[in-house]
Amino acid sequence: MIGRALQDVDVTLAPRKARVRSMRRDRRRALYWSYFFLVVFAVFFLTPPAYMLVTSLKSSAEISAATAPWTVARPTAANYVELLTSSVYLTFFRNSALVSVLVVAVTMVISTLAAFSLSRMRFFGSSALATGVFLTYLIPETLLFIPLFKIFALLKDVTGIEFLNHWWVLVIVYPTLTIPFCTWIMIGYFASIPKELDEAALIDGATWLQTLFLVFVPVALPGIVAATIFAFTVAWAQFLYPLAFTTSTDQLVLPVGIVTTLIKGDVFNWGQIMAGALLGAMPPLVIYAFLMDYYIAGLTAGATKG
Amino acid sequence: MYPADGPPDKALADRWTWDAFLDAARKCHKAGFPFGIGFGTTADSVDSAGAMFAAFGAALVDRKGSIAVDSDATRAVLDYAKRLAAVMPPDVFAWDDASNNKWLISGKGALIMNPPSAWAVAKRDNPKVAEQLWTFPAPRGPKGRYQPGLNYFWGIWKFSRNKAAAKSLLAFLSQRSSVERLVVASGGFDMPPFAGLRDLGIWSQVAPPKGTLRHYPPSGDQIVSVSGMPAPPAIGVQIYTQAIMTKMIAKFVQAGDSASKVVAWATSELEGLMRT
Amino acid sequence: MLRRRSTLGFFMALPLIVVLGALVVYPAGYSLYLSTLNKSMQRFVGVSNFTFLFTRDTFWMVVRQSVIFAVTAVFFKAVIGFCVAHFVHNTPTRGQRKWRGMLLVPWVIPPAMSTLAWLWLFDPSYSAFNWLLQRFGIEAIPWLGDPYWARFAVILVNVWFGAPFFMIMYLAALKSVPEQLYEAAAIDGANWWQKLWYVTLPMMRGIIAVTVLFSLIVTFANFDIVRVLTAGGPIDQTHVFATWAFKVGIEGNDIPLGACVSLFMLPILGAAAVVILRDVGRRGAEA
Repeated sequence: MIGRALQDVDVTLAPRKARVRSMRRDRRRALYWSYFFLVVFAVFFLTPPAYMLVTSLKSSAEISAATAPWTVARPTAANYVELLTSSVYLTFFRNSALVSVLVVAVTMVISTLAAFSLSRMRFFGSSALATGVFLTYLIPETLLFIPLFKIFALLKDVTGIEFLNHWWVLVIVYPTLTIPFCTWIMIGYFASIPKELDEAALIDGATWLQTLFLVFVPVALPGIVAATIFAFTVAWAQFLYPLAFTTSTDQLVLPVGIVTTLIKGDVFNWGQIMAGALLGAMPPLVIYAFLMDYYIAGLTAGATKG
Repeated sequence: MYPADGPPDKALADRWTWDAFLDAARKCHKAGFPFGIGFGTTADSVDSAGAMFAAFGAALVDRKGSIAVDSDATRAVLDYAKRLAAVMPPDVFAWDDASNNKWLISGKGALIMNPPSAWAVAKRDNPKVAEQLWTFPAPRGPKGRYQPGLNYFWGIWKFSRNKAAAKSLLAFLSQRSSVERLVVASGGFDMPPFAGLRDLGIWSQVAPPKGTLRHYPPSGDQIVSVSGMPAPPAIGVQIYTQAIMTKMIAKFVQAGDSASKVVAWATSELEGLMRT
Repeated sequence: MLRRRSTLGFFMALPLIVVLGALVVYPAGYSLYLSTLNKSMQRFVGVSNFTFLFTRDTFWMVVRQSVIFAVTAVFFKAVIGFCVAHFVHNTPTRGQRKWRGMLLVPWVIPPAMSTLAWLWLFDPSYSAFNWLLQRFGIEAIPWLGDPYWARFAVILVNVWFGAPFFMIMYLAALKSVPEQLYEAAAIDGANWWQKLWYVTLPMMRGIIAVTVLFSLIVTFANFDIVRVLTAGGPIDQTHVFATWAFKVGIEGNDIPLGACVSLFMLPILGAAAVVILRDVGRRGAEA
């Protein structure tokens, strides 16, 4: 390699300058093409949400007239007002918020404890458990919703507690979707914390739980925030479990509520549906807007820490 | 049929057959405003297909529960559907319950098979289309004039704790005055199941145009039937929800399968439905 | 000291074990039991539900469709994610944050909501896409009415939703490839294609395998998009395992049969997992 570099030096100055200049031109061309394609893909990715916004500002008459789908001639906030003053829609929002917050709390407690235990402590079957957690992802919710439905019905016969058709049954099932991934994220973060730190804490007389809360949690905070955001987003967006387990209007969560109640038989009100869908997408979007870096960092922890 | 309050025109009613329907569909298609009968898997499509099957006398499962789909009547219906689909928009096979409403209200279509919800929405969103809409009975086929319908009913659970109160509520709701209030509240959409209750004034009153719903209540030789008849209820329900009839039509027309293949497929599906 | 550590460890992991055991492993086993019952769930019929399924054409069609759907969608998601990651990586670091932000939006919106927007965009009478096409004199496309266009639409929406995830993972992985390797390759006279093939791809093998596997599983078991967009139609041509299991099991009132359909996913997913993870393990050992 050094020999070849010396060979380069032997060449006269002019060609080398040409090579440098062409390299800069190459980089600039690559940059322009990159920006061009980025714009194309940005348009592709952002068109549906933009269209949702445009449609949600239209009155029903304007939508039916179908003169110019991509622009609003007479914007109106009527759809939003109708939704936000409708008790049905607000019930959906409240149910979704309750379910999501509770699920996040449950998930974070269980995942943090389990991640700490799996990354730091050894007990009989701990490595098998770590693989097992990943393997549960192979059992998709689309397999489990049927037996779970039956199990809840059976539990009602046995215990008398009505699980089905109550929003809190979702708080029981959603954690199965969030815990594996959150545990995985946090094992990654915890594993990267040097062992000297907990040894130092232990020498100072801390118990394991104190080590967890006073040493690990602050250091792994980005991972914890990312896991929290992930759990919230997944819980908020769930469609199949609530569709299968809740039917009464006052127990529905947002995604199912919008799809099943705003679409009444054969009368669609697309302005309201789009407004409802956009409002339903707001919480994850808002959280994402403020905490984007944590979210991305947490997701990609696996990519770099392996 | 038209104008609303004119004397019943028997000659016109006799001429209004599925063949005349096809003729009109061809002419409207040529004029650029086709008919729109959905052949998807939702209720509206299954209702329309059921009426067609019944009008031609094609039953999937007979009254005793035996599979009867392999018949000349079935082949006749499939053939007819193919000729009709040729003059309708190509995506009728994916229409859901709202598609035909939207088709009519957008001004693109000339006819749909639907209760008055389409007219009611048009009145709100596109009055110019609404004032040109008219509701009238289904065409007559070789075996009769079948009107698609879906009955809803109220019941009292065996284990309910206040049966007397429930019964008196139901009795009250079945009174003519209550029925009238329900029908008026729905803008004429709800249809009382008993012939004696079908002379309420609302259908003649709503406008524009005046009399547009006058012929919505079934009368004369119309037979209201549920798609899947005369199959026993448990099987009929599955024929309906699994949309066997519209899928048969779609297979014959869109996928181009032969009639024998379609009948064989339907037979195997029906056998599946009869499993216990 | 060691013994105390292991019992505390066990108890800390216990909630995880309980949740996954009771709500994942047990129902999966129960699903196996359900699939051996008759339609009204009163008699044990062994494997006759499965043999019945194997005689149904629709079942094999659903198998074919699910595999084609999953493989095609994951392929495009990975390729698009990979390319877009490169484009973002090429731009100056300061501006990358806003590009990442914009491009990840599809993945943040709940899929049931965004699919409604696509449903409206593909509507037979009011499609905004058809409106654009007709302005250019092109005939309207029956996006959801024609079987082939419907399959295209379902794959398109899935790719739209999932590509940002791939992009964000690959971008992070790209950043972690040491710059010296590229410089060494440049000095050896490599062009951009050779750099890609000999430097980038081998370094990213692990993350590519994991994201592809994760996405294959999730896409294969997809429910929301197909359900909202086509409900499996037309003529069942866009049904995947999940939507067909829902139709047969819950709407068709035959829960054991629905369980059978869902269970059939497991061997396919398991085989995919084994193949991909074994490949990663082997490469890891080589590296």
